[in-house]
Amino acid sequence: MTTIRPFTANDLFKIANVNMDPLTETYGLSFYLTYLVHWPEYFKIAESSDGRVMGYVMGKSEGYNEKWHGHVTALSVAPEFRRLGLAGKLMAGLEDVSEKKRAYFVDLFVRVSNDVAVALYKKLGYTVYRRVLEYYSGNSSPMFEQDEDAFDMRKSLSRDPERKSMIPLEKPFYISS
Amino acid sequence: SDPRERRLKAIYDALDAGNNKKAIQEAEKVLRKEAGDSLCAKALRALALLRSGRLDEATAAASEVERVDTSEESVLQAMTYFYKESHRLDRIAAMYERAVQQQPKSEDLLTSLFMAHVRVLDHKKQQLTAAKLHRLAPSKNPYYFWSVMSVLMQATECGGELASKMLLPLAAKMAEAFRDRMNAEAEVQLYLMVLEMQERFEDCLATLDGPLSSLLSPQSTEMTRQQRMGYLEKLGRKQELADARWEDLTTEPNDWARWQSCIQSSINADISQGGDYVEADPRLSELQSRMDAIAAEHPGLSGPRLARLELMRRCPVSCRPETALSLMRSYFEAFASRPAVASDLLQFRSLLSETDENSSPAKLLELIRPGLPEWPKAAADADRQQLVRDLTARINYEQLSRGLLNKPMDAEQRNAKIAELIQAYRANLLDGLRPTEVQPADDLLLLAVSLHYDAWLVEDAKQSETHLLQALYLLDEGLSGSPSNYNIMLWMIRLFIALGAWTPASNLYERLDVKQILLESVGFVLSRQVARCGLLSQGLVMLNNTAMFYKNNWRDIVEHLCTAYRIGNFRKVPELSP
Repeated sequence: MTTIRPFTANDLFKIANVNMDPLTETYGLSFYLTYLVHWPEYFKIAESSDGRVMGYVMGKSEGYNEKWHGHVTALSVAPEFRRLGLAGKLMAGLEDVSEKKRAYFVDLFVRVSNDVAVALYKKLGYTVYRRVLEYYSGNSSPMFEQDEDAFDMRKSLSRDPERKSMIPLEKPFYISS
Repeated sequence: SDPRERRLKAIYDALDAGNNKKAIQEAEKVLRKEAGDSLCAKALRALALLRSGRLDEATAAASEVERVDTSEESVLQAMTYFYKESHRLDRIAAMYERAVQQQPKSEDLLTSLFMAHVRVLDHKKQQLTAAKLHRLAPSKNPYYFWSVMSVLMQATECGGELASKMLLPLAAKMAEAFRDRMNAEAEVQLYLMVLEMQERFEDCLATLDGPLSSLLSPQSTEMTRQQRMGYLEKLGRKQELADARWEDLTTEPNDWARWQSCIQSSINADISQGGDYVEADPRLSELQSRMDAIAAEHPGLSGPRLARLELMRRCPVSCRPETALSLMRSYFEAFASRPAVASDLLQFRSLLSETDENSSPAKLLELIRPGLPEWPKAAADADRQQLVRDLTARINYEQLSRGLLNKPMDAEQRNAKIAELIQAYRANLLDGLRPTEVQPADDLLLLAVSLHYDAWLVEDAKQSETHLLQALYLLDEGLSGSPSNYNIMLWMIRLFIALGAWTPASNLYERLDVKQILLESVGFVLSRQVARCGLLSQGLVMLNNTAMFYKNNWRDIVEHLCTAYRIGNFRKVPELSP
């Protein structure tokens, strides 16, 4: 059993067990604080009964008109707490907030090689909307030296009953900077 | 386009590209042409000098700019960067004070001045500046509420009678005077913050229930529900609180915080009505039945079942060790193939008996043991999911066993256990995992390593390195099977340091890619060992790296304080302030 509650600034000291996983990016302090100040409703943390951090989710809402949507910036569960359905739970919370904000859909980016994550999101009702070339830039760690493409995955919310936002694009493309 | 503009643009472009040398050159070109008149070029040159590390020259260049009072936006902005990057946030405020004197009716300048005061936490000056902004533009709510927030922060800072008798009443009066003109959720929350500090919780509830509640957004209902329960708690309205909490629980019957709240509430509410619980208290058994009913309704959830144990912990008189044992046993049997079951149960180990054999930790293990699956073996055609479940159950058992039993093992038992764990580990390595995935059997290896570590701690110096080295050999083996397992790497760092071997420890630390906030929460595993290991110049590199993170921190955090004011997320202001 889990406690899911709003993320606070001090929680940044407690997320090492989540962030040291190689597929979890540790951003600069400013990045987390921006989300904390602008979109606190999306920033949640999950704790175990004995007070350890199990995972967290960080997101935002953006876009205009029919493109008004929720976005998952980071979703991460510590290795020792996987297979408990926590990712699904955190995603459901984010979708719920997005529904309340009357968003049309939720979207997220995921590495094309991360089959575990892609499968999880598919199970939660997300489909691949488009492929974004070289979204993830290569960095210094030996696992991710090359640039890597991302899947942009989407799930329509109740405001888009015909699921127009999920109709996939054919050609992959670059995001212009 | 204007040649002057073009020349200035060249400086900006060079700075943006990080080419400080070019920026200095371009700036000096402008200064030669305009006979030193361009204050903007001077400011940009100072900035470029700073970024090039030419500190003395930069400071001299900056003082030239400071000598001239100006309200020129481009100069102010350039100097703001200069002061931020030279960690002189106080100078920004002084600069904008002078600018405002030149243009006292500029909202932009006054706003920048306000933010400059925020950066140095000068709440009094914040209040004065916000008041000026309000007088200039009385229809813009944010300026007014910046004033209120500044008073609140002054109260937070000084506390005591000054806060309670003067500052908080002032803030409250200000907020209440504007009540009819509030038009944003942020303003309502700020009002609540003031009332909370004044401990006027009845008024807090009235606000949540009154007309101002229409300003609260749908996505805040969760937060306001929590706030409401907080107020009920402060007001001591125990029965209402208990009812609200139980209702809250039914929507999330696996939420641990909600279970804890319900248990707390039930105990408090009952006790306040009818005295302390006694053994076999009917109210207690009613509570237990209520919990069991929820557990029965949601058989797959661990929360309700763990909550029974939590009730025992909170209410010792209700705790019979044999009941605790029975609950722990059935919890384990129901959920053993899930992760973290051992740690779930270990927090309740005190509920078992140390004296009575029949409700002792050893007895619990004895009863669980027969129900465990056999040690699995990874074969090519094995059902992987089942294998992982079986492994998890056995790992939970081993971890539970280690956590429950207090007495140290003798050498023979320990060696046998280590052999058993390693054999199981080696028989359950999976093929075809990605380098970013971790072997499910790794925890068995780590348990064996812990046993070696225990031995090293206890046995005398003559034999001790053997265990340390044995542990390291195992960890090395583990790392090749799971190149991403950070727990293995942390263990190795610890043990290499124990041997005084800085270089391999440092290499593993590099591999962990410890950066940003992790420098604070993980960096100490190495940074505290620098002096001990004696390789001081290498250690210094590492420490300098870490120091940079701390040095730049405050400067980054204050920007978010400014953002919090700008977008009206007032709750974050005290959260981000020291």
